Amino acid sequence: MAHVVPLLDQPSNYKDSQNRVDRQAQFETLSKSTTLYIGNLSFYTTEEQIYELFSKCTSPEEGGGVKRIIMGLDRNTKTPCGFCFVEYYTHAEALACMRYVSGTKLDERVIRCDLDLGYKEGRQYGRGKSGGQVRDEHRQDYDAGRGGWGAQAQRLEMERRREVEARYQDATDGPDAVAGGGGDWKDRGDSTVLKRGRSPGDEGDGGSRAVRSRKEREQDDE
Amino acid sequence: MAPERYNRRRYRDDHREPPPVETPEQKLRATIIHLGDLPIFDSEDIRRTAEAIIQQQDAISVIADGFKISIINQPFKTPYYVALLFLLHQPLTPTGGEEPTTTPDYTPIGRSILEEFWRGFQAFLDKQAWRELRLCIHFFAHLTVAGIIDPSSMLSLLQSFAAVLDEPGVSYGRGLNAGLCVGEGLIRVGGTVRTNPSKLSLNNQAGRILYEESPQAVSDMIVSITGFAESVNSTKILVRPLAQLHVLGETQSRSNELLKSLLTPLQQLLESKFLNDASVFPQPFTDFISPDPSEMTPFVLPSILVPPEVMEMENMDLSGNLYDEDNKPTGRKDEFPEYYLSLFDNEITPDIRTPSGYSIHAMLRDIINIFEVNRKECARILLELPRWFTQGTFKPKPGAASDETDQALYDKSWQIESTVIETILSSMLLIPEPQHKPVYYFSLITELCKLSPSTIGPAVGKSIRKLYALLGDGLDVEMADRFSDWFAVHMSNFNFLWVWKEWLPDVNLPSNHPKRTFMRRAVEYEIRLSYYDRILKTLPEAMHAPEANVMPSQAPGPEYDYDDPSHPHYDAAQSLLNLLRGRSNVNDVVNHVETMKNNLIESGESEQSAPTVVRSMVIQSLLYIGSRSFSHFLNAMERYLPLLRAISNGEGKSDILDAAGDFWRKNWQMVVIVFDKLMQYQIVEPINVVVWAFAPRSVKGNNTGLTTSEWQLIRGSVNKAIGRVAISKRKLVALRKEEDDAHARMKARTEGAGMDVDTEVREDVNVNVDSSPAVANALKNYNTLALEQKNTLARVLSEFVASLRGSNSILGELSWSRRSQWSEGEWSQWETWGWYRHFLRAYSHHLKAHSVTFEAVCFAGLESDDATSLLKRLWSATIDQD
Repeated sequence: MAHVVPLLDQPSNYKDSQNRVDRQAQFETLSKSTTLYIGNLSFYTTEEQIYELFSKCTSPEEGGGVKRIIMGLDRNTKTPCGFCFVEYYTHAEALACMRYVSGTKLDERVIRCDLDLGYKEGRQYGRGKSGGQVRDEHRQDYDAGRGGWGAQAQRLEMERRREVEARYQDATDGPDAVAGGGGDWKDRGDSTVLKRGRSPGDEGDGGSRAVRSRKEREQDDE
Repeated sequence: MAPERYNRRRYRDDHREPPPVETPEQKLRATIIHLGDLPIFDSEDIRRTAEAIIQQQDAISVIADGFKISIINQPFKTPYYVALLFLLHQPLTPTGGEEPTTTPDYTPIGRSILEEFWRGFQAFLDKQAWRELRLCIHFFAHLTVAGIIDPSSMLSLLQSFAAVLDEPGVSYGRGLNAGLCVGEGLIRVGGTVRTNPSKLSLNNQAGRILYEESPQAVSDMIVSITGFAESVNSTKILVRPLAQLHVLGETQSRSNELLKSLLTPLQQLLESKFLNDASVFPQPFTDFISPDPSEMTPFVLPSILVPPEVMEMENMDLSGNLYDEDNKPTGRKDEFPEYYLSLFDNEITPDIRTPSGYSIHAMLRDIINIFEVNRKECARILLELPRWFTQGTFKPKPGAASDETDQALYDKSWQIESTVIETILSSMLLIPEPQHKPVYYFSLITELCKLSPSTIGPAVGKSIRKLYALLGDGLDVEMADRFSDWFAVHMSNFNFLWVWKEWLPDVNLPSNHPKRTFMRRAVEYEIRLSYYDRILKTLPEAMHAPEANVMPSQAPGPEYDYDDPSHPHYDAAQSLLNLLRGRSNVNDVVNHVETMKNNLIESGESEQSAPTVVRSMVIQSLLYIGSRSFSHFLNAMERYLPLLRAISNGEGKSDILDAAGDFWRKNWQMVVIVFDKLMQYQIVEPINVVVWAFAPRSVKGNNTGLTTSEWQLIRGSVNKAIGRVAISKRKLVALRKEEDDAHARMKARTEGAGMDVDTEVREDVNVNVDSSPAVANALKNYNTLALEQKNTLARVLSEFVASLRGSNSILGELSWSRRSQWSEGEWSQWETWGWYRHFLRAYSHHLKAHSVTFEAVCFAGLESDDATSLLKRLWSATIDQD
C-alpha cells in the first residue's frame, strides 16, 4: 500500500542531534513503541479529555487500554505547557492513533501525534528557557489556548485557568513522580508481588534509551 | 474532477518525506500505479503509458507487480488497467497516423504479464485474501469483456468459487466472501457494457458473454448464492438494524442485507438475460482499435480449487499447535449478515439493490477499507470518484458549467457527497462491529468536511437528521450509541455547531425514549471531549432546565461524602485523608484503618457494617486525593495498593465499587476509568463489576433495566476478562516457542555429537515442552484466567435472563405500535433487550465455546411465556449459526 499512498502511522522523519543511540536502534524501538507524544495541546486541556479521545483507539479485548498519561508541565510553574505522553499497553493502539487521531481536534485545537521512544524520568517538563515548550518562546501569534500574549485570555479560559494552575502544584520529581498505570497480570499463586507499571515486553526500559530532542520535535510541530 | 495538486498536497500535512530517489524499476512500477493521477487524462495517456512499459518490456515481473498493486489497491482504476493491458496484448499499432514505432521483433507482452499476475492471484488464493481475490476477479471480468480472457475459463473460475457455497458446513464468512466473488464477477461481466452506437457490434457480444457461454451455469451459480443466503436466516434476528422485537422474519425498509442486495440485481440480470445496457463503468479500451481477433488469442485462466478453510486458532486446544501468532481469528468480523442502512432516497443515492447501485456501493466500501492507512487520501479519492465512473453517474460539482445536453445527462444522476457519507456511516454502524475502529470513520468524515465543507457539510447534517429519526423506529441500541459517539466527536471537530433547537419538542418524550437518550449521551460525550460551560453555551436555554434532562445540572465533579462537618464520620475521614495527603507510609495507614474499624465497633457500629463504612472512607478519601487528574488517581492507587488489597477481602470488592460509584456519581467517565483500573490492578475482578452494573440503584429511578452507561461497564469487564486471557495466551505461546527452539537446538547438538551419547540423554531431549516449570506455570495461569472469563460471561448471561424475564408487555406487535405511550419502565426494558441482543452477537464467538454449560446454567427451568421464548430464541440464534 505504501506504493500507492504514504502511510499515516509512520514515525515522523526528524533527526536528533543529541541522540547517542544510532538510528537503526531508534527505529526498532519505535516499531514496537506503545507511547505517543502529543503536541499542540491547549494549556487547559485535561487528562480526562485526552483519555476520552485516546480511549477510542484502544483494543481491550487484546489486553490493551490507556496505560497512563503524562502531562507535560512547565518546569518552573508546574502548569501544563501544551504537550503530553499517552502510553498504551499495545503497539497497535499507538498506531491506530497515528492513523485516526493525529491531525484531528481535541478541545478545539488540531493536535499532532508522534510515535515516541518511551517516557523517561524528567521528560514531563518543558525544555524552553522559560520552563515551557521551546515553541512557545518563538511564537509570534496570539494563542488563547496556549497562554495568549498575557492577560488577554477569554473569560471562560480564565475560569479554567484557575483550576488548571492549582492542579499540578503537588508535582514532584524523582522516580515515583509518575504512576506506572497498572501493569502485567500477576501470576496466580504468588499473591503478594505485583509488577508495577510494566507491561509485557517492557523490560528493556533501562537507561540506554534515547531521549529525543524536544527542540527538534517542536520545530517539527510548527 | 481532477486530483488537484495531488503530488504537492500529499506530503504536506503529515510531515513525511516523499519516497527516496527511485531506481528504474521503481519508476516503472510507479508509472503503472499512477496511471490517470494527473488532472487531465485521456486515452492518449494510456497509450503513452503502454509505450513506456514496452520500452522496458523485459521487466515483466515489475510490470505485473505494478498491475497487481494497482488492481488490489485502486479498484476505481480497474477499467483503465484493462485498457492498458488491451494495448499490451496486441501488436503495436501506429499512433494517430504516424509511422509505426514498432521494433521489428516486438511480441506482445500482455500474455506474460497475465501469467505473472496469475501467480499473484494464486498466492492470494493460498492466503485466502478475499478482498484481493475479489478485486482481481473484477479485473478478470473486465478483461473478459475486452476479449483478453477466454470466457469459458472465466466461467470455470467463478464456478470454483461457487463450489465453496455448496460445501457442507461452510462458515458464514467463507460463504459470504465466495458469494461476493461470484456475484460481483457476474455483475461486472454481465452489466459492464454501456451501449455506444459506434461500437455496438463489440459490446452487444460482450455484455452477455458468460450468459451466452452457458445460461445454465450462470443460473446455477446464482442459485448457489441464493441457497447459501437463505441458509443463514436464523442469525438475522440478532443483527437487524431496526430492533422491533416482535418481528421475527425479514424486515424492513431503510436497511439492506449485503448478500440479499447482491442477489436482487443478479436476479434482475438473469431475467433480462443479461441484456442490461446501462453501466456505471467506463470501457476505455473501446477507444482503441481492436485488432483482428485472429491475431489476439485470449488468455485462458488456469483452473483452480479454493483451498479449504484455515482452522481457527482461537478454538484450538491449547495442547495443539498454537505457534502461529500472526494467525489472528478471522471469523469474528464476518460471522453475521451485514446490514447497511439506506438513509437517502434512491434519487439522491443509488439503490444498492440494482446492478449499478450495488457496484457503486461495493466500490465505496472497498476504497474505505483499503485506504484506512491514510484517511486524508481516502477522503480525496472518495470525492474524486465521479471521474472514474461513466459521465452522468453522479451530478457535477455545483457551479460547473453545464449546457442543455448536460442537463439531460445529469437528470438521473446521484449526489456523490450523500452517497459517500451514507456508505461511510452505514459501514461505521455495522453490527456487531465495523471493519475498523469507529473512530476511523469519524476521522474520515472529518477529512471530507475539511476538503469540501460546502458540499459535504449539508450531506452530514441531513444524515444526522435521518439517523435521529430512525431512533424512534427502533434503531439498534449499539448503533445508537455509536451514532452519539460520532456526533460528539464530529461536533468537537467543528466548533460544536449544531442546531439543537430543532429537537426541542422531543424533550417532552419519556426520559429514556431513545431520542432523549441520544441527546443526553451526545451532550455527555461532548462534555467529556470539551467542558461543561462550553457545551452549555451551545444548547438553547430551554435545554438547560433540569426537567429537560439533556444537560446535567452542574459540571461533573467528585462527591466526597465526608466533606460535611456534621457527618458522623467526618473526623475519622479527615484524619485518614490527612494521612493520605501527607503520603504516609502505607503500612502505617493499614494499621490506622484497622484501628478506625475497631473504634467504629466500639462506638456502636456492628461487626458487619463497620468494614463497609471503613471501605467507603478509604476509597472515597483515596479518590478524593486522586480527583485532580487521571494521573493523580493512578498515583494514589499505586501508592496505596497494599491498603486496597487489605480492604478488598470478603464483601470488600462490592463495597469498593459502591464507594467509587458513589464518589463519581456525577461523572460516569470517571466511574468507567476507576473501575477499569481497579480491575487492572486486580483489586476487583470483572465479575464484581458485572454484578454491580446489573444491581438496581436509586439513581436510575429504580428501573432494573440496563442503560447504555451500565452496558459500558459490562463491556469493559467482559473485555478485561477476555484481554487477560489473550495476554496470557500470547505469553504461553511465546514461552512454548522458546522452549521448543531450545530443545531443537539441544537435539541438533546431541545428534551432531555422534553415537556415543547414552540413551537417557536422548529421552531428555524429546521431553514434552509443557513439563518445563515456566510453561507449566503459564499454562496454569492461562487456565485460571480462561475459567474466570467463562464465569464472567455466564454471569452476564444469567443477569440478562433474570432482568428480562417477565418483560412480556413490550414484546407484541400491538405494544410496539403503541410505543408512543410507553412509560419509562417500558423503554428501559426495550433498551435492556437491545443490550442483551448485542451481548450475544458481540461475544458469540466466546459464548459458543461454552454453549452447553451456559444453556444449562442460565436457561434451565424458566417459565414459558413470550419473554423467555424470545430470550431462548436469541440465544439459539447465537449458538447454532449453521
